Amino acid sequence: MNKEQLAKYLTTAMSTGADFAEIYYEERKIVDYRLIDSKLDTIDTKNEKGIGIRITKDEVSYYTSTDILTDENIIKVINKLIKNVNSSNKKTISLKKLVDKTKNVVISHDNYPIEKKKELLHKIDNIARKESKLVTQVVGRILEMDKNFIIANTTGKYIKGNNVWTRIIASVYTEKEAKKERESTNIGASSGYEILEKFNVEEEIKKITRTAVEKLDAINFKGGEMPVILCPGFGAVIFHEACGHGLEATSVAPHVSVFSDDLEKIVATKKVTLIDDGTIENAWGSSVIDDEGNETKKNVLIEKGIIKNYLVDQFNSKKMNTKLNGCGRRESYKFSATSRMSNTYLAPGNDKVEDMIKSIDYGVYCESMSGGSVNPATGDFNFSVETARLIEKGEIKHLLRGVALIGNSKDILKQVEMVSDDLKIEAGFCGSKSGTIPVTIGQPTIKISKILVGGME
Amino acid sequence: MNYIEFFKLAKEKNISNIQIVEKKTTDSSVELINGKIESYNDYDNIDYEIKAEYNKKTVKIHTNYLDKNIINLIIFKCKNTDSVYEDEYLKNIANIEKNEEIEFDITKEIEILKNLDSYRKKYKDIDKLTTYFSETYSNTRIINSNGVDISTDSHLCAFMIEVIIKNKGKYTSYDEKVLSTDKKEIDFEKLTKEVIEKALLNRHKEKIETRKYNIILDKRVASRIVNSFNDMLSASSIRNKISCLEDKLEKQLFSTKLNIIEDPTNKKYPGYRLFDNEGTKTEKKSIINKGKIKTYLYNIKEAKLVNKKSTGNGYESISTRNMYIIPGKLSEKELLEKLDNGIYIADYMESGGTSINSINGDISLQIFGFLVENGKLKTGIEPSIMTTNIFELLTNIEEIASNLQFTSTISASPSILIRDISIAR
Repeated sequence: MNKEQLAKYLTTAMSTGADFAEIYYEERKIVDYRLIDSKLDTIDTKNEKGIGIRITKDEVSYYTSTDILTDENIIKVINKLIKNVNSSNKKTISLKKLVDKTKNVVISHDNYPIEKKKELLHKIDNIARKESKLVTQVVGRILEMDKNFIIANTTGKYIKGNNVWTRIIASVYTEKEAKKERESTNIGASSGYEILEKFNVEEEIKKITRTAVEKLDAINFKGGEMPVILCPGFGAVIFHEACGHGLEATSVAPHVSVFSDDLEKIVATKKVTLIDDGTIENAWGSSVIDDEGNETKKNVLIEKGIIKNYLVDQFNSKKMNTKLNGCGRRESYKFSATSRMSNTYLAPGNDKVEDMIKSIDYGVYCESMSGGSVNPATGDFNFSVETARLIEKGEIKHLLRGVALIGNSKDILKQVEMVSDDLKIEAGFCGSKSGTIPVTIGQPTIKISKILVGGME
Repeated sequence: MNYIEFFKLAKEKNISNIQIVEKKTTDSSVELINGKIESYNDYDNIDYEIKAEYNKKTVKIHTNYLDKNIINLIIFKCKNTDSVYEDEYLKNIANIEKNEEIEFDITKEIEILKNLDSYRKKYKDIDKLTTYFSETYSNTRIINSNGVDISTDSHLCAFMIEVIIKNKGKYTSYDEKVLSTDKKEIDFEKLTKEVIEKALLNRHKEKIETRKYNIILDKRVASRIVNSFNDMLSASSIRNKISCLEDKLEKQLFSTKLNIIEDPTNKKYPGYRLFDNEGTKTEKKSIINKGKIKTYLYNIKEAKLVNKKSTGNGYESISTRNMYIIPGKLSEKELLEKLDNGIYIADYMESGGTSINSINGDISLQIFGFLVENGKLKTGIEPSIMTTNIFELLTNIEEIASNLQFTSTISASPSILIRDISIAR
């Protein structure tokens, strides 16, 4: 896709009087190595290239995408899209000099030998199976994602960028007396195979295997409202769901977020300082530029309980009459970019973990969490706890089965009672309007004074 | 690169069999908030799922373009995967003429959606009325190196509506979705009135105590439970020992009132398909009969590994189309009367796909709904958690309603009355 073509498509996109037009051209490749039953069972691959065109008119976004990349088809889909706009304000577009924001990768996916990838997956399998005879299955995965993109828009912007993601995932399955359990771990980075320097395979796999075995004896308990402790790392899904999505301009601008009118208002205890930072080097949710071609930033969303910033993409910045802050993201050219989180974490505090445990007479200690979801319009959210233990009279006890937590954003932020200093950030995926994208979430150990816990009775 | 060139290049590189599933999708969708367009999207895409054999090994590749790099990728994958099975490639199938593509635009529906805002204006408590409409045409074609060229198509329309109520500084919402193969069958106004009625009832929420209740699972919540059988009954999950339904064929696991079938051959249902992505002809089949599992779900690979035939569930992963609980005779009103007192679970919100655990069957699902007193919806309930497992939930079935409705192409269900299920609040 060359400069002249892009300028021609943008000029066509503006020919019925749109206010603004943008083109996003992308080539991406996903490779997913999956070891199961001690064999490299599949290598799933997905190769895609395509183009997305957005026009905006009077604060409405119109978007089209296609992967049939002939000149004739691209003009056809643009012409279909611009029928939605009818104004005399035409404009011929010329683009500025290409800005190259391509990031260098130390050990690229193609340069890391397949034999070493297989060796790593077999190592995961061997460690888990040696650790316990109750292990019935081990699934090891390596996920490689590479994308290269070009963005051109009617302000003359013409920029190219890339991103490279690597993720290693391991799940250990155990069985005893017809009971089955699973425990998983993962590490992810926006980098190549240099990620392995930070992954202690032996230690991590032994740890999850022991937990998967211990979970077989997990005990049912009666749910209800009680205090909980969330261990560092993925527990931050509570902030991602409870307020992260509600602070995205995609919900704030059309006033369908419970936080739409809360800038500079107190929404949480003073213990809560929430940051979204797309610039953390090689973090799974980082990138040099966002998917609208703007530099990513460190944004303080909540400072000592007060909302300081929303996450604002280019389209919504006009709607909200505020500055954008480099968070326009999308899964691929099939989606229009919108405001999304990158690496979102709760800043460390000064409380001691042992004091948190001692302060609880009856509650739950959540060691590892999985996914969650939220309705930004009402603030109702939930998330699942993979591994949870009972806290009784200030002591951590046995594992519990089937624990989930639910609450409401505005209520729960006022229940954050204690925050420790042991910040940990973990990788995951987030699905929303612009598709499924890599994000990290992080937090130190925290104590929530009251939340609804669901348990198997 | 066209198919002829691609097949020729594959043959030159000693790829002995090659089969392409081409999926073309055209889609238009619009979202309105309070009668104004928020966003409009067109989608015009093509995807290829390629199955190819090299050195007696078969692999699959997903791509949206065909070139020599894809051929090299096939060879790389065949050389490096350990899994060996002899796949089947379609042959001797009469070619089916490709249907004419359906062209559509959604201008009329945008106007209908704009006009629905008049209902919002009647109620001062309604803060936002969000509506969404999409129309999708997709054609799936299978073409291979044996000269096979067959296709099947589908046309789908979806309407969603969400009403957000602001009451004393707190927000509550209620939404519904319908899926239809014919947009004329969507009654936009009727659904809008129903959603507004329930949203207004949901303004006031009671906090319920944590205990066991008799419940009704609304059709869309029950549909999600049916959907979980995709993972649990997948022959791949069974073979890999990661399903709670391993070794459970023909055993009395659930209520004898539970009958689940898969019927991709019914053109009126949204998951209509003549064949799966491997070209296996689909057919109406019993999945669960009187509470006993009748079959696992196989694609060609998994069937070959256990010396069986594919059940026509070979899509991108093993999956169903139009799998549903066979409806009973009671209307929604009669089902409520039968419940008398309990909880009507109208909606759910999942925790990133882990709320229903396919490994041990545990269910821990955030639920929204209404308190039922004397057979009538009384008031909303505070969001709660339903904690059970698939065996308890489907064993305790008392009645199944007649209101089967599709909100997905995969699964559907009528509403179900179930006794003694734990709800935490």
